[in-house]
Amino acid sequence: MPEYVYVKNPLDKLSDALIDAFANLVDAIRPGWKLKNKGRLEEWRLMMYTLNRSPLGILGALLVAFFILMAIFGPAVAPISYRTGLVLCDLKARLAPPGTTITIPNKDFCKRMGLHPGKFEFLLGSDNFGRDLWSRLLYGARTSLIVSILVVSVGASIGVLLGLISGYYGGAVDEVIMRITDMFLAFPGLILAMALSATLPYAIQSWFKSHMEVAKLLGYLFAVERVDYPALASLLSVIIALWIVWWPGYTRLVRGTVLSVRENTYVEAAKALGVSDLGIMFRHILPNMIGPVLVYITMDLGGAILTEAGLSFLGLGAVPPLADWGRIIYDGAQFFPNAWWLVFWPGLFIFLTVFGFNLFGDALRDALDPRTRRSIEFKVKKVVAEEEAG
Amino acid sequence: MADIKKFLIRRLLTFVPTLIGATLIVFVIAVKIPGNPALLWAGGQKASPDVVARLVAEYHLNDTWYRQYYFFMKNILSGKAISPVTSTNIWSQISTRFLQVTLPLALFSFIFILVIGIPLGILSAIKRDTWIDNIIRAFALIGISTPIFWLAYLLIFWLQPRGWVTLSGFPLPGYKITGIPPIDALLKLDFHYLWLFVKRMWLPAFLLAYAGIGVITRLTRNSFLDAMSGEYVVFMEARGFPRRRIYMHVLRNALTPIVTVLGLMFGGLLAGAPITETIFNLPGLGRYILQSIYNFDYLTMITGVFLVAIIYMTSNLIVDILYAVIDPRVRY
Repeated sequence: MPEYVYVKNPLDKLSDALIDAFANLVDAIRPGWKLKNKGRLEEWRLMMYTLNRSPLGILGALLVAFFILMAIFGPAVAPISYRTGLVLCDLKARLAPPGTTITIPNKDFCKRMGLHPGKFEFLLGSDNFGRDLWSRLLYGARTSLIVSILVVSVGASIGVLLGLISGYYGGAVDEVIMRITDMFLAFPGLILAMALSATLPYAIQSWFKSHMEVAKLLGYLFAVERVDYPALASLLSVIIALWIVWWPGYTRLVRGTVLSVRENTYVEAAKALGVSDLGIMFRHILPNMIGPVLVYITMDLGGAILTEAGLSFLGLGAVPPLADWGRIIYDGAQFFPNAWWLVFWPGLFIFLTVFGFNLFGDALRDALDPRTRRSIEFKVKKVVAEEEAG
Repeated sequence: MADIKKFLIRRLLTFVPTLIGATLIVFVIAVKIPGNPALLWAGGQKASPDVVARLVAEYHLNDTWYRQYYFFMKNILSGKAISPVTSTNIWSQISTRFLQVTLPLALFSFIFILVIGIPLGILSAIKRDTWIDNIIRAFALIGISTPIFWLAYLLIFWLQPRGWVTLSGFPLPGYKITGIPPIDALLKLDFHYLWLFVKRMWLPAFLLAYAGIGVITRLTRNSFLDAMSGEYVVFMEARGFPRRRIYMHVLRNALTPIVTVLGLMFGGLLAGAPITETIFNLPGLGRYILQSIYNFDYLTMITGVFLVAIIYMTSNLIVDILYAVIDPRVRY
């Protein structure tokens, strides 16, 4: 028998430290938790070891981490605002190739726009209004991240809830929910999103104008200046349209899984013990089917970014001057291939982000599979036994 | 065979309410959500009030919602609906564009998916965990992560100076048998037209298929690997069957989920068409729906969306029936 040498590499030790820190934190809030959940913590440690052993998974995690950092700190780190067009200040700023440096003259209207005299470098180029592409991409990362999180979280919540109810109760409730889900699934996703994005902006415009606190909240979330608040209505209508398109997929997925998990003996045992329906659904069925759903959610975050960028590329998403990766490509496509940077860089960022989510989701699928964890557990126990003996 | 008949009846019984439900959704989107569509159809704020009043009367916009729904559906299904914005017959416009451009595009993409996706998936499964497998898996993952509108411009930039692709106009043969140009050309063995068609459409079709290839490659690989773990494979190996024959048997069993997903994918191709048609300036249904959105022509938009939905539902129905025919265990 070949000796499997299994050493905990530094990443493993780091994940151990993280999990222990989390366990201590929860233990401080609820004493006794750490002792009660020793098995669960061990499983989490093995999951992290599995993730650490997949180089593509680590690459995906790094890409996702970079995207999230870009989204959170982007608007603060951006050299200039997303809406400042330098073309009025210096005509050379129009469609400047990447790496162009312009000198801002000492003129009054430049200072009124917030531009102080000196040099300004367009890292990735500029568009036809002289807006810096790198800054717009940073703001656009915020837009993409928030939109995808909002869309997937609400869609998944509604979908999982309905799927749980439908799968657990069965009968008439199941029929009704599945009929409604099928109604929405009769339309291919993007087409329904297009149709909704076409009509929703006009429907919510008046509501939006009379509820400025929503505008303020969205403006804070998306780092949008006050003058652009009306444009946020288009972004809100995209989010609502995607909510409507997103929930049926989860309902169908969850219902199928619940139907199989429902037949397990522990569910019958819980019922015999008198656990309430809600208790069974959320404490017994849900944790046992959450694995594939989590993987689906991870890859769905990438899918939401892609769909939202696609809608913006068709002109149906965020309205300028809001910075949105798909919209930048839409506006910049007319100058292709002369101003190739307007299409290349946003698309590259979209690709890398979605690719990162998909890579990480793939690695997560392996990590959440109990069989991979068992094989790693076997190897760890062997090494630990040897260490103790030798 | 009574099994299949019962299944067919039950499946068709669920088809009809779903269809009616879809028409309700379509109605709500086109008429109920935009508060005053007549105003938009008449030209916005500057519209004269009597034009708006005439439109309101013509499209029964002031009636109760079920009367609106009745007239709305009657209008769309009659085939004689006239768009309030462009004053053309909606149905003839939509059907020409669909049959001439979008359907050939979707079929061409489908061929790409079949010809590239399935062999790559099988190769990846056979050579599991080697460098070929890893490259194919990476390629498939890239396929589902790339935005079409980005890759399209990159490929256009690379290929157009070399003359490998035509980017404007749309070739139409002079004759008409089925209304679908490439099929007509095939029937008449008009290879000159087919060459023009391929030169115009191969890049849009390939891009549309790109994500589908990624999905099918991964699915074929997983399905093939699942089928290979069956006991009959060990039996065949013990009996000394040549590898090729074993793979053929495994493939037959692996094919069922692939067929299902392929059927669903056809509808997905129709959904991806608007982006591809916009980039390549193809006069198809997707771009027509987009233009009607820009013109606030909601009636045309929703008729186009409705057509796409019907095709999608029908392809799902066919796939379900096929699945039940192939696999007797599925006849519920």
